[in-house]
Amino acid sequence: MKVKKLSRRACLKGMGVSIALPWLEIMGMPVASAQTSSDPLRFLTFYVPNGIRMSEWKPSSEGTNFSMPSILQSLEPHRDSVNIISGLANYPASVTDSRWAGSHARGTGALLTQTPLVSGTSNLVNGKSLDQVLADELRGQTNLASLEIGAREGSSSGNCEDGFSCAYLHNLSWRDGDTPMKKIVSPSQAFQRLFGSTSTAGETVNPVTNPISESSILDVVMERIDALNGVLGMEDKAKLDQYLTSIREVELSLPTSPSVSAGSCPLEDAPSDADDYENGVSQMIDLIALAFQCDKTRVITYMMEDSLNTPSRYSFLGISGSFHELSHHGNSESNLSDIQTINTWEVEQFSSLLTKLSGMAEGDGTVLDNSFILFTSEFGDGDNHYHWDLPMLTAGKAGGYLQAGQHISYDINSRSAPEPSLDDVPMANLFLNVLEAFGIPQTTFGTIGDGQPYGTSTLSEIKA
Amino acid sequence: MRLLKRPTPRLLSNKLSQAIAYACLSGLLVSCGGEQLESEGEGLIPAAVSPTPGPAVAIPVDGQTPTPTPSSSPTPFSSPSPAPAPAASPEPVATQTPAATPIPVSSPTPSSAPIPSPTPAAVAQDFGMLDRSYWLLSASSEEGDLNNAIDDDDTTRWSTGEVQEPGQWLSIDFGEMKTFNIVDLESEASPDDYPRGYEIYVSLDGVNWGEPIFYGEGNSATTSIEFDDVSASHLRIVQTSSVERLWWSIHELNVFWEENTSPTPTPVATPTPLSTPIITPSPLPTPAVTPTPVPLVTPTPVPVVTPTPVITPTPVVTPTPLPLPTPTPDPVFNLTDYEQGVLVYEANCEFCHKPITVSEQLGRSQFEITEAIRTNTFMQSISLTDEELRVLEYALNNTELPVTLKDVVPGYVIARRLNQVEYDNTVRDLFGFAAGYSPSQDYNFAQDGFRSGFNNNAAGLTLAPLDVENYLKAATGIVDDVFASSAMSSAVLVCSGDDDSLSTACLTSILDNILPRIYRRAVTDSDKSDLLGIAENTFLLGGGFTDQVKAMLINALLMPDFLFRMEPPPTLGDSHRSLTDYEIANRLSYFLWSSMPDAELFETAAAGSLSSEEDILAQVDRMLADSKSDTLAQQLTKQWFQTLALDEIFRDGELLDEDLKADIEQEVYMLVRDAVDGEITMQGLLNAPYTYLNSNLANHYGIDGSGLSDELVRYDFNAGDTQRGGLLRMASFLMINAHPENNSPVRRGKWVLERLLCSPPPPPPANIPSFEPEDDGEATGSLRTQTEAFFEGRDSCNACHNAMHGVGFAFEHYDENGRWQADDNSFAIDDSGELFSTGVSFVGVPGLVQAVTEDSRLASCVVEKTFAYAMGRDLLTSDYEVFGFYASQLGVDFNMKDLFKVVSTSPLMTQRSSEE
Repeated sequence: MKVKKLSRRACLKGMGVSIALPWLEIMGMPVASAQTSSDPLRFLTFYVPNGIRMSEWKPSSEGTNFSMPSILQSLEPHRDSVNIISGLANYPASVTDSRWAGSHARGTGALLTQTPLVSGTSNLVNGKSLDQVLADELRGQTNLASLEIGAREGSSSGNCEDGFSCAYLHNLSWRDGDTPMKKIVSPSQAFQRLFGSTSTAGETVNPVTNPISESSILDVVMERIDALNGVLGMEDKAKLDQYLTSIREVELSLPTSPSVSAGSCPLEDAPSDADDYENGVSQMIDLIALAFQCDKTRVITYMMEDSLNTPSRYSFLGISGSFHELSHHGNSESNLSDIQTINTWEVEQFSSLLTKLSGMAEGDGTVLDNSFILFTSEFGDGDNHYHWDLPMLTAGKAGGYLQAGQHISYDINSRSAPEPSLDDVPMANLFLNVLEAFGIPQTTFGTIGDGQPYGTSTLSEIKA
Repeated sequence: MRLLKRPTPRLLSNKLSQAIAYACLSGLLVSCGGEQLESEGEGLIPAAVSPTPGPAVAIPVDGQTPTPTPSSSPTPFSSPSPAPAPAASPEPVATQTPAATPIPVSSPTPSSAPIPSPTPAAVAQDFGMLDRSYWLLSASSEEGDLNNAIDDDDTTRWSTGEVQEPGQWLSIDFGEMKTFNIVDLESEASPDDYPRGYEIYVSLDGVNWGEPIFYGEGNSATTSIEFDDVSASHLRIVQTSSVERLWWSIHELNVFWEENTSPTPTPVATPTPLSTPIITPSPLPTPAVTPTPVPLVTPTPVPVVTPTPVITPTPVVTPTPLPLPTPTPDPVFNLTDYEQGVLVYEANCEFCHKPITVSEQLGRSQFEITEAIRTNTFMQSISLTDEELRVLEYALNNTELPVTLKDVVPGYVIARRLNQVEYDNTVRDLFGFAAGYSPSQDYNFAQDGFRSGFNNNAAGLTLAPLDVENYLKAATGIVDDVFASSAMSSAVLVCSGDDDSLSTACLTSILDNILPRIYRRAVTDSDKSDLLGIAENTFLLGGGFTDQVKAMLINALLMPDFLFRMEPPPTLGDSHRSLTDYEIANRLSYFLWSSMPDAELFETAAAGSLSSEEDILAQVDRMLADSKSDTLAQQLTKQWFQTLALDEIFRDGELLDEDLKADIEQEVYMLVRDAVDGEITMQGLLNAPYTYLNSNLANHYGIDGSGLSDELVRYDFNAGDTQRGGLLRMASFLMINAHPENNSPVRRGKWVLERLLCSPPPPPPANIPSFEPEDDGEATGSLRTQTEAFFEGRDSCNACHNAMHGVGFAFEHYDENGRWQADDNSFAIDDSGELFSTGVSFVGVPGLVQAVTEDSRLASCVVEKTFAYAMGRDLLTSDYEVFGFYASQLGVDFNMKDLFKVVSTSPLMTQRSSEE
């Protein structure tokens, strides 16, 4: 990793003279031009765990005139903004030398990376996730390159491991193969991350009243990491590099760094964290909408909760016991019906977000129009654990890039016995659409291992 | 189709050294030293195998041009079926490149991808340089035309256009099958741009590349790579190393098939489609004098090789020397039956059953192996030839512990971040905060990911922007808290300074006092000047003396030297080094206390007195006597015995009541603490005749709790009362391994196998029928009867479930809440069981406990878990042999204190390997 950065001496001198130097320019980051000709484009992944009751999710017909299935009823008002895409596969998630172990971990860890996970190595091995590819592209245009959030913590008993590291289950967003972008599960903390303060109004940081400069301290730390690189082993350096790049990310969002852009931002205070999941979910949804509206970040990954999260409860829906255990439904109608109840509620939460975003006018349209949103899970059916025929929904028009309002169904070649087929349409292809919509088209995304690419062409059906 | 992860060079060399180790073990090699590794390694390579279970291939008759027989059966490379093809396994020829290493072929396991295997070339091919006219090149990146590499112009080049990084590659599509054995990469016009490391892959379809057939390091402008004959239509060179600034360039690329000049013909392989190639004594006649160049797949006449005597490894310190093979100019020796058996085992069995030296399958007969393969779904794709079965049986029946401690590979731990417990404890001990001070909770630290069973594993402890933000807030908050306390702040402020000018001398004194404790080592002038710089910065921004000190402390708490535990690698070229006294002090304190070293430990380290075993043992005794070692008992309780899972269980749709949960956890903790304190032995964890109860817990168990209060106190059971006693009869184990409304013999059995015997069953397949017990009111039999009826005839399930049920049924007298039940919903209880892998039958939990304590796996499992926790790294194959050795030394039962001493003085804890 080669990043030009300030020497400590230069930084300290600079600080002594003027703390208000344009931070981003000092750091060699591009500064967004003041007048953007077009409205900003946002990307959101809205993830729900443990699969979906697919029979109540998938419309019975293709095209635009499908009738909304039971689980998706709440999306009826947004019908013209969503696409339901059936038949996509995450083949890389099925690549393993251990056929069944870690299928949650693989499905989740590889969901946005479309890269096979490797167990039994001395470190984590994944790829770079789609959101982080975008974050790299957009870094510097907003205060935060990306935001990763969830509505509750995952299992902490070690039961999440399943032959792999728990990190794969806890994180969708990966900056690189061994660095998960951990998520914030506290709405108030997420708010402060976004606004650097407990209010959207922000607070004025006066260097005279706070002579201890966080950014100077972090700079000394970065210098030290640099010096340590000379004496440590390769794998140690990789660990410290996680620290270094994380510091760089944080420096950009320190209160001392100038606000890069500000959409029309309502005056709001940070929420106090709800102590129940139901309200926590909706607080995070409010935050997503606010972050997009204020243009604090354009890339958000929202894991409503972790996969395989044994202690999770849905008693507020009248359901007792663990969602994960329920998801191994064994075709019991009562289990399936409970799963459907949970799925329906999840989609309702999603729909409430779409309602908020579609209510925010921007340019000729709405914030929703200027967004590319994915709703998905690591499995289709939570019992069979297959990584094909996955639930996938897009929302928004991506600034006119997306043709919405359709149910598109691709042929499924994968068959029972957990043998996926490379002939199934890769989810990675959809990701190529995302990159294209953001003006950074790529020819491939993800890998099936051994340097072979996975996604190689965009989905033409969803393009306007 | 399945795909292989690309093996790293390090893993390959591990594999090689493992193979060498077995050769050493047999006494064939006197030394395993690195210098001899290359030449000695060669003989270990299994010879070529047939690509498909097709017809036998032709033997060349004219000694010049082989007449290959086209394979009649198509090779299923693109089939999604998991049927793997065998590996291409060239016998390496003597190589001129000292840095190059032939790769011992690990045969494909059933889950491996089809590895392209050479099929006989479709067209007879002459020796010499391959015609490049029809080649199609592709590469991971391109700077300059790819065809520059094959344009007969050595001034033009292909280049990566970026600095050399592992994974860069260049592929050739020959357009047809070619046989070849040399690849030349020429970059004389860019003499520094040779690949620092490389791997050679071949493929039949350009998609499936399988394992590399060869790897090595470049060291001059022309890299000439020689390997054994291989036939393929695609060739790929993967760059495996990195170097600063330099690109990887190739000015001219050539491939040759040269007549094999080595006097050593290739040993014959038995075609073995699904498992390790076995070298068998050749039934073929010895060929004429002229060595025969052969395409890979052609069985070659074998020279007479002195059959190596069969070895019987014994658990001795000095391996019995065995006769060396007759020296030849290029020595090749045959593998013994034992070595062949080990290779078969590694290829087919090791994934589930661990390395053979610690396998629970030792002693199996051919019949048992065949039966297991026939009946077990997980083993369906394994297919062994009669010869493989024979050598596998031989190996399983002749393996004993081979370890001597001088061979220990210490391994290394990558820079490891303090986890939450370690951070809290360290901050507590650093400044003198009261017990319970928890910045990790106060500042919402992101949870520590588990890996390899524990949350102190270096690889699982990642770092993201969220952590930086939390550390920043925590450091500021901690320092504010220190300065809010006169006792703590006066301990920091060893002198006083001015607000109006920089009191450098005093600031330095403050650092001299506290910084060695923050960094947990001796500090340098450079360490201090980093922090004096931030003091100066604070001063320039208007901060007074206190602010300056605060800034230094905040800064120090964010330094990697505080947040990480780092052990730099040995000097380049050294395989390992001893840890420094300070590093050992840290290893000890984080193992036994989950915290920083205390003053005495620091002093001992500073005096250079932690290097001997006696010195370490004296500290371990002292540290275990300190109440800070409670953390060790707590962490083993939460993580190994998994009381953390009490947070995740439901009863009546709700999580457990907090008070009851705390009591249930405390009961486990207090017994584990007795073991850590040496009050009971390791086996006492399972059969202690007492427990700890308070009135709440007694009530939960239905025990008369009169006289008990809220405090858990020791409660001795009457002689002959076997309902309670030990971890397996406690609510924690019984409840976390149950369903909300029923006990679960499956989960209880699995837990015992996994966490006490370290022999977990494989994970369940997806989409299996689920067993739903009948409702209590309508039950037609006991849970056991229902379970057995459900599994009746489901052979593929029973292959694994028999092992779990055999253990789990012993707990039928304990319901889902861990309460004793005289009958099961009015049905009689049968709690007889069997330890499936050893065949020991028993009745009830007392019987199970006796069987488990008599099982040698218990001791080695306790050793394994303790080491995994102490080291904080993933376990290596070589570790298991060390664990087995220690377990055999400690005996079937031992005091945990003795184990902690073994761990603390082990080379695994006092040394580190290089990364190579």
